[in-house]
Parts: sequence; structure tokens; C-alpha cells
Amino acid sequence: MREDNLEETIKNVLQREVSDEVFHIEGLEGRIVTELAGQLPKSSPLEALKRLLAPTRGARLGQLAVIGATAAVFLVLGVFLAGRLPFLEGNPRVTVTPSGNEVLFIMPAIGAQSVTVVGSFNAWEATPLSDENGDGIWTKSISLPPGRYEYAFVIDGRWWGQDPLADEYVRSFGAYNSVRYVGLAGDGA
Amino acid sequence: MKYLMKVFLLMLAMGLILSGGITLAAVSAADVNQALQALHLTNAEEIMAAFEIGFSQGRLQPEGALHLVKRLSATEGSPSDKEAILLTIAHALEDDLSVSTLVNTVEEGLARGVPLLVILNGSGGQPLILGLVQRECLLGTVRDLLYSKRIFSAPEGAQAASTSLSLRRFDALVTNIADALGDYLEGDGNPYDGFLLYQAMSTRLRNQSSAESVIPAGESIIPAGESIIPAEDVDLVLDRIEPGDLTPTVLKVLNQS
Repeated sequence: MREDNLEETIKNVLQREVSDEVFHIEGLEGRIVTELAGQLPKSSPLEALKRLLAPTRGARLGQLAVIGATAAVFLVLGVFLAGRLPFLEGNPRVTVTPSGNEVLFIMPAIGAQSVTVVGSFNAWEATPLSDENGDGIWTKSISLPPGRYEYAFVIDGRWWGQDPLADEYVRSFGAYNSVRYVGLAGDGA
Repeated sequence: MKYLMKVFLLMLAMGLILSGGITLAAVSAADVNQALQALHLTNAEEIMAAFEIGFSQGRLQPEGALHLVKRLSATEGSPSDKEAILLTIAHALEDDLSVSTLVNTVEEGLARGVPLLVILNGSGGQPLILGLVQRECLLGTVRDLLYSKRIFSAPEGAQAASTSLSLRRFDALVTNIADALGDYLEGDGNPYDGFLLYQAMSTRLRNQSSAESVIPAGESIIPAGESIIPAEDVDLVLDRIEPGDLTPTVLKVLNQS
């Protein structure tokens, strides 16, 4: 329906209301909208998208700015979540479960340049520990689902598998690995 | 107010598009196949076919397989040794065995810079090192031992008999018993001392049992590495396996090395 026919349609509806003596202000708008809805042509997806935008240029710019900012927030959130997903950070064995436990890894290594922890929870890829106050105590807290984990520290490239906080120790490839039971009966053994 | 609604709808649409993008970033079997092809293996198709069985059973995750293949690819060594390592894992899958221990062994060995042949075949010297071949053999003999004690895995969806466990629970038992026996041997344990072998097995199973006596339906709390064993499964094993059963089990493995 063309725009110049709109006015005539509205006038016709109003005249009919008056002639039928059913004119009431309440509900009038709704009745006109219903009448018009039946006559409006189907709009294309592009036109529907255009109608989502604000009518004036200034408001449209504001609206696009809000949309842009929102997209940026989602992008940052997406990148953050992607980094947290285990399969994207080389951590294939660990599946995220609702009952994750924070496990604190502590290694005293005064004068060390780098300390990492490798184990069955990170596919034996290095996860760095930090020593922010420089006291030689390196720490890292890692959230792990319940399970048994073998691990070792790597201090300046040298493997160290005898963590005093471990629940037990096993030999592997002729060297020792530490073992932690997380959230299981052996936890703290 | 209408403008706010419009903005909200557009935000929602963009959020869905971005979420879809993240989902698409997940590793697929095709990615694993592509990485395998890059290794120029003779038996790449057989390996991939076995890996796909593992993916469908949940015994191997595409992310884990891709990580392993890429790490092998980045490691110096003979292509035939790399292929032998992947074939051993493939054969274990074809033989209906869980491979989480095997994958972990290779990952650890590569991280430690252990020669590929030692990762594969172990070392019979002092200290004893069990390689992938011995670990696979141990998984098979433990599985056979459980069968002989009438402890089975039930097919998905089948009505479980009293000693038929779901595949995950059965795999958890096989993996952890084999691991415990293997670690005992690598720790210079005497293979002829059935009592100590039994103690190593029972300690591992009890340490690894869950606090709950029954795993909830769906078993969603068990992670991919078969880390949790229901207490009732531990009791079942300790009730049926005796110390005298374990020496012949480990000797089969040691005689193979």
C-alpha cells in the first residue's frame, strides 16, 4: 500500500466508526492498527532491518555506536571464553565439571628464572608458576575436576617430581612423578 | 523503549553469531586426519579409522588426538617410530581397550624428551621402564582377568546384569588396575609377590573411589580420563580378584618385553 493511501484509509475507518455510532476513544487506535495490518504489503528482510534502525540520523549514529560497543564486548568475552576452554589451550584430557577444585601448586625455588608445572591435567605442557614478591616461593592455583593427576615441576628446565605436598609418588620413565588425588578418597593421603 | 528493544535484539543476534564462531573453533575428526596426513604415514588410513572408533566411543577426544599428532610431528625422530606409536594406540582401540593411559604415556615421554623407541618399547634395564607396547599388553591382560572373574562391560542402553558395568565404569577399572600394576613394576616391585601386587591395586582403587556409593544416571561426573571409580565397583573387584591372580597377569607383560 502506498503512503498517500494511508490517510484515506484512516479517514474511512473513522467515518465508519462514526456512521455506525460505535465511536469510542478507547480501543480506537487498536482497531485502526488492525485494519491497516491487513492492507500493509509484506516487507523484505532488508526493509525489516531498516525499520530496526532509529528514524533520525543522529539517533541512528547513537544506536550504531551502542551496537558497535556491544559487539566489542561480545568479542572480548568470546576471546576470554575461548582461552578458558580446555580444548583450545592444549588441555585435552581435562573436561570441565561443575565440581572443579582449586589445587594450589607450590614450589620453593630461590634464584630460579622459571618454574612450571607439567602433568596429566595439561597434557604435559608447561603451566608457569609465579613468584610476584620475589621471595623464591613459586605458586599457581589450577582448577581441576575430581581425579588422579600425575605431575612434576620443571625448574629452569630441570624436572623435579618430588613435591612434598603430593599424596603419593610413582616412577615413570625412570624418574619420579608426584600424584595428587583431587576430590577423591585418596585426597590428602 | 522501542529503541532499547531493537538494540537488545541486535545485541542478542550478535552474541549468537559470536558464540557460533567459538563453537566452530572446536577440533573435528577432519582436523586430526589433516594432521595425520601431514606426517606422511604408510598406515594413516588405518590409524584414522581406529581413532574414529575411539571418538565415537568417547575413549579418545579429537582435541587429545590432535595434540598428540602435532606433538609427534614436532618431535625429531624416525617417521617409522612415530607411526609405530600411533599404530599401537590404534590397535588398542581396535582391540576394544581404553587408551587414556597410552596417550598420557606418549605425551609425558615426549615432554621429557625420551627417545621414541623407549616410549614405544620401554627398557628392560634398571630401572625398568614400561613402554607403550607393555602398557597396551597390560591393559589387555587386565581386561581378560576381569572377564575371567565375570566382570563385564554392558553395551550402551542394554539392561545391565549384576556384574555388567557401563563401558566407562569398566574402562575405569581396567585402566586403573593396569596403571597400578604397571607403576608397581616400574617402582622395582617384585612380580612374584602377589600380596604386594594386590595391595598396590587395592590402594589405587580405594584412593580413586568417589565419595558417593552410586554414580548418578548419565555418569556425567566422570571425566575423560576415567579418574573416578564408584566405591561399589572397587568392592566388586576386590571381592573377586585374589593376590594369586595378579602374578600371572604381570608375568605375561614382562615375558613380552
